[in-house]
Amino acid sequence: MDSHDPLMLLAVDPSDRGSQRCRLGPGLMSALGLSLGSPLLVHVPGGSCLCTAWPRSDLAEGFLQMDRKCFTPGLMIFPLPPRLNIEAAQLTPLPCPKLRGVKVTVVVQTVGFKKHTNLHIVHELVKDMLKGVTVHKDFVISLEHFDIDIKYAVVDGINPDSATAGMITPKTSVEISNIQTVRHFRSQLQDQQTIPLGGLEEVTASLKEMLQLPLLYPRILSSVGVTCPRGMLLVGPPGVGKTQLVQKVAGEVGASLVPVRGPELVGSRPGESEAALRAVFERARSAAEDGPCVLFLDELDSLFPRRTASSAPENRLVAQLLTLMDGIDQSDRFLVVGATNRPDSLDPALRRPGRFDKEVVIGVPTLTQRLAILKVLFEKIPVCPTVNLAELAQRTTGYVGADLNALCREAIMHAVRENAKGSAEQKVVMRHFEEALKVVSPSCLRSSLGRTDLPRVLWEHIGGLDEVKLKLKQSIEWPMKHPEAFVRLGLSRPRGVLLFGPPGCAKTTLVKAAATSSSCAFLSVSSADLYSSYVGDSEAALAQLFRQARACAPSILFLDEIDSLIGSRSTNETQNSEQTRLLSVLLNEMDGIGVKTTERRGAEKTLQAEGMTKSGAQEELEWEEVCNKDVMVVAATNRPDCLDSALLRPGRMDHIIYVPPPDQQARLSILRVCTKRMPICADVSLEELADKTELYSGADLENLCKEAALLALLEENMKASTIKRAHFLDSLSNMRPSLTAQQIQAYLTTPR
Amino acid sequence: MSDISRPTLSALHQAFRNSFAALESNQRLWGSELAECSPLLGSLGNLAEQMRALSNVRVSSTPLGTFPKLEERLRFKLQEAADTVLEKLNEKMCRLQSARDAISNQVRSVMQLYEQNATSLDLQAVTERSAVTPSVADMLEWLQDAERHYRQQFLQRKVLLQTLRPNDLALLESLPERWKSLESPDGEQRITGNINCPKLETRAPPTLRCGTLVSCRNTLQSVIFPGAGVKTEEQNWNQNLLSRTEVNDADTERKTRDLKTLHQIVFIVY
Repeated sequence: MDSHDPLMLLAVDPSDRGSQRCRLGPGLMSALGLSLGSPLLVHVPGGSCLCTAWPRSDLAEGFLQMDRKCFTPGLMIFPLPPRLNIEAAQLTPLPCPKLRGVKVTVVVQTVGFKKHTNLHIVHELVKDMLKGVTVHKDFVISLEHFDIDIKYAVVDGINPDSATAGMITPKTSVEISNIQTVRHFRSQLQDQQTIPLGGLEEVTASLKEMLQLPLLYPRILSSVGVTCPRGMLLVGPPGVGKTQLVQKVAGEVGASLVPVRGPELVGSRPGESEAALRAVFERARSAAEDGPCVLFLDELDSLFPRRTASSAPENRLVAQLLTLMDGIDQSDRFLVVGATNRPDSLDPALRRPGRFDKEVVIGVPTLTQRLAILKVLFEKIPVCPTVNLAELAQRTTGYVGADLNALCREAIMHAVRENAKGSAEQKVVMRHFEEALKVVSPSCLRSSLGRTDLPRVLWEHIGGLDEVKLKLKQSIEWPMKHPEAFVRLGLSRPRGVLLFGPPGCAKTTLVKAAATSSSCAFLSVSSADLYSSYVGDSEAALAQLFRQARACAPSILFLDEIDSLIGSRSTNETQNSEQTRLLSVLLNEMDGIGVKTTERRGAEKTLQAEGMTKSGAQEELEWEEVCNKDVMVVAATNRPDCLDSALLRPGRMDHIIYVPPPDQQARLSILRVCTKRMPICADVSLEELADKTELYSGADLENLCKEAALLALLEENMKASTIKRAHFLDSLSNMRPSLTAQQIQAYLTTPR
Repeated sequence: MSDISRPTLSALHQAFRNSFAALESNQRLWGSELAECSPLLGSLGNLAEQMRALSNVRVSSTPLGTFPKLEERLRFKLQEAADTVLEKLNEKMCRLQSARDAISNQVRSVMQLYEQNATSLDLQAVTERSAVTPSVADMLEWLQDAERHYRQQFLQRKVLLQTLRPNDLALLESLPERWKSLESPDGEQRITGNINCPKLETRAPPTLRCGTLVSCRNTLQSVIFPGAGVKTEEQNWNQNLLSRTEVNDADTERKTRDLKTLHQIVFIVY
């Protein structure tokens, strides 16, 4: 026979169940040098099996049937695919000497069996069952065919140590190191495949501590009289990894996880939901007898909302949870972990010590946290080494873990698409990430009212105004780029910047350029978003806007036309108008009052144990993080006299910048920018135009260029190829500047 | 077939003949021992039923309440009886184990004999069949299958008995059925068919629970009537009990049923 033919894997014969036989054709057996019952290691996708070779009863070649009795643990989770073909090279004969001793972990079906059965009886049974089995170190031996409560035995070690596999004879001593239940065993196997998480070290540590302390030092804790916390509430915006964190920690500690998803509990008949909740706690209790256990209530707010006066069915469910959590005593070694992104809608009775003792806030990741997350994500992607992680982390303000994941996926998709077009590049490069950044927006801003699509405006797009640009750079760009200098000189970032000046002088464009250059999140709001017919609604909206801006800090909150949005208290007729209330909210938020506990972000303490020296780049990132955790309010107005004086004091609007109408030089550069894409005739002198356009604003100049171009089209009947000087002068004679000298004088005399 | 392998093969065949004979005798032993177990299990189930009846009835509220500590005494006696039966079962299990061990040893020795000569026997010799003799591989396979079957049967029965607990009446009650469900005629058939022995079906018909009841009667007598000469009281009590049990209230139907069972126990005593 040709030994290169693949063998077809067939299902095992029922009469062979539990025999550990591997049925082969006799020809292949003699080719491999096997006799009856020789041990044979079969490698299959996902693991390997140790079998004993046996000829098929019909002596046919080309087929393989194996009874999986001794196999790698991985095969327990991933079943073999149907119609598997196995190469002859995947079969290796393995010498199996007789073993002196073997050490096993016994896996039983129920907790009851583990509790009630005497250890020496278990030992006797296991020894009886293992007799004659060929075992391999670290493999699992299936005892399911015996159809009793003992289901598996995991080979922890064999004696002699030098062998990796061997045969258990009646003389082999069997030692039982541990007894587990099947559920616990399976959950442990599953947990080995958890994904690593980046940037959540602090929360992980505290969760681990809560789980492990009562297990490691039960006596000390009871002698000190400390009752261990039983509940923990994870609070954080969606997508920061609350659920994954719990799964990961449970896996690391070796705790079994009893997950409860909100809707699973709710039944249609009265009393059904409560019964389901009780059953869940019962399940956790029985799992806790096996070892540490975490009962995880996801989306807690949907299940246990604030109780209302009416007899809503949720009221009963909340009451049931309260009694159940009070009913947990110290002997129950399980931890209740709840996760929510709306802690305020939870019933307050749940949030007291004794129920959910600890509340851990997982905020939107900070710069260093994002860096850590990206590092973890990049491990699996073929990323080109030129991709700058730190830069990517900087540009992804406001992105949570899920967003970053989506970002990486999108970047890979771009790379794949490019590969499909035939590009030789096999790796993901920065260009792909830039494409992905356009598509994936941070999820904490998705439902925000201030979210605006920011066009990329560079400083060069704005002509003139160098002084203003410098001031803006000072207050927005420098703290981002040179944080160490700011810290060194004890400088803090300005809280607010007010731009004022005549209309049409590029105030809005300046802010856009500043946001682009500093690559921070940009939120802008208009009165259409804020005003509402309900009393108190607009204030709430403004507060919410600040909350979101803080969540994705460093960010710029841009209030355009602030005079119409928020008036002055002194000039208003009515004392308690909506504008006044909005003003008070704005003042409060700018002073830093109104920050909720749930908005906490990042690590508050550094772990002392990790006394590593950090690289320079790392340190710089940390500086940056310390400096840039605030929201900067940038406001623009052309009526500074209408603003409340409380808003204009340092500490709120630190920098008040006058954006003047362009002077001759500025006008020249504006004209240059405006005519960059226009085919201008050589006789056009931009200097001359700049001279002639005294009191013209930037918008006027842009308009002038447009008019000239249109005039050219009009005169030369759609076939104009250049714009001539005459066109410019003609349109200039038809226009009037939008500014007046009085106006400008008024701005200049506005008291600071 | 090479000349070297011929004597080895004949030695192997001899060993097979011996072990099949041993297997047959041990199988008979196994079957007869197993047959003797079933009446014992029946009585265990019966005892469980009685315990259930006892725990369902509040003895103090029946006419039996006049007897001091009747409930505890009855329970003690029933448990003692169950213990005795279990002890007997244990003896049977030991014999089953020895039968199984004999089979295992037999099979192992044949396997060892094969392994010692494995180098001189090529696969073709081992897998060669003829009209009158099965191949060595087939015979080894049958022996191993038989050994595995008995090992599994024994372990299952042993675990079943091990899981019994005095306070788990439901388990004790269901014991006879579970014991019966462990029988796998398929496996037995395969083995008996292989060694050409007539199917062993000499299991005793379901025995009456007399044995238990007699012992129960004795125990009850000693508990309730430590002294002699209380015949008149006993008759009164009997009548009383009968009249009470005839009350067939819908609410107390279950109670009455239990009382009847208890009554039957007591009734047998006299």
